[in-house]
Amino acid sequence: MKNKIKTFFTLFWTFFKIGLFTFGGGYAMIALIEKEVCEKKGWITNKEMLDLVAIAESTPGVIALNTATFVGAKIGGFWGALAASVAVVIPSVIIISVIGTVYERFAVNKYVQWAFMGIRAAVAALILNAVFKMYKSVDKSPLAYIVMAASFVLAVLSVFDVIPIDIVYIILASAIFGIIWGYFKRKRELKPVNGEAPAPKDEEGEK
Amino acid sequence: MIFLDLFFSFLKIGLFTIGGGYAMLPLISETVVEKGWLTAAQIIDFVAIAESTPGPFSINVATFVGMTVGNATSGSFWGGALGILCTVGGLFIPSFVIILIVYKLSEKFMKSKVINDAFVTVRPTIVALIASAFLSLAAATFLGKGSGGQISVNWFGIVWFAVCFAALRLFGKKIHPIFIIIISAGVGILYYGVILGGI
Repeated sequence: MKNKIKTFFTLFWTFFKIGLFTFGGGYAMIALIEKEVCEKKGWITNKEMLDLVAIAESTPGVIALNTATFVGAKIGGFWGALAASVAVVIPSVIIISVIGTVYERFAVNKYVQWAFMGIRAAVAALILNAVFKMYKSVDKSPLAYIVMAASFVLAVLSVFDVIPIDIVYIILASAIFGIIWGYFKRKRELKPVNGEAPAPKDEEGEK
Repeated sequence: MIFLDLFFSFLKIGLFTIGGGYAMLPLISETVVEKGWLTAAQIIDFVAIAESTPGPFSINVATFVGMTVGNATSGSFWGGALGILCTVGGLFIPSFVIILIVYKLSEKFMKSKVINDAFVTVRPTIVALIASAFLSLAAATFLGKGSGGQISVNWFGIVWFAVCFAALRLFGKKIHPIFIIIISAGVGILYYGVILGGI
């Protein structure tokens, strides 16, 4: 019981910090979550983090909230989910309620704008760093590289409005491809070729 | 009843948008302008604020809308607070409930071969998506439109980005992202204010 309460407050405080220092949406948050939840607390691995982002991205709702709820549920069940998700929202609500009353002056304030020139460059560095860290937990197989390259090209074309596809469809297509690939791979492995033992379980089957 | 209307409008937005903040924006602005709660110009101001304050983008916008509409309706602090409760609560509930259900299901299905196969390819895809998000942010931060339409390069941004990235790669274990963000806000003010003499 005492442990449960402690987990509740730790989750709350961790996600409060994440909500307070996330600038620029879901992806910027990944750097913070990775540091707090994977590296410092060791609650989830980088691999689980990738699975979680995929789930948060492809389910309805606010990505930050989805991620917080999922991590919270994994660590502390229902109450953990509640603590993490409420905590990630509270800084927003407080800060916007305060700034909202003076908002005409805030957005054009030169100090705010200057600070943001620095913050944006830092957030870009944090996101790129997250890419490198997350890359480490991906399988180093030809299949993974091909999927990564194809997804990257599609995502860049989508982000820069060259082709009108939603990011969600890229995730979905990738999942379907993985399922089909896995199905045929298992089928092949089950079938002994010329009476020999099944091929060793590596990823070298494709071009 | 305007507060119920606020709640259900944002519940609908939370339930039917996939892909987070920027995917929600068109739906939010359409709903809010159509109902006559806010003008399109107000929405643009809100987006500027939501981008330059911490926290999830869509929650920031929802808070703003709830507060403004609530204040206008009742003219008191409590009207604004109730408005925020309605809009943020509306966004909150679908996320929370859906993820709890997905979490319960995933506990069961994560061990299944099919789900595992899916994640073998989805993981590299997510890395690629984060990389593409980086490119889009980098383009927006480092390149701007100068007067007359030619592209201007933000050298300060590029240099500071390189410093931060090098620091993260070299001392990543010791440096907290929060620290980098706070320092960067200071460096931005220092550079534009003091060095370029903006003050």
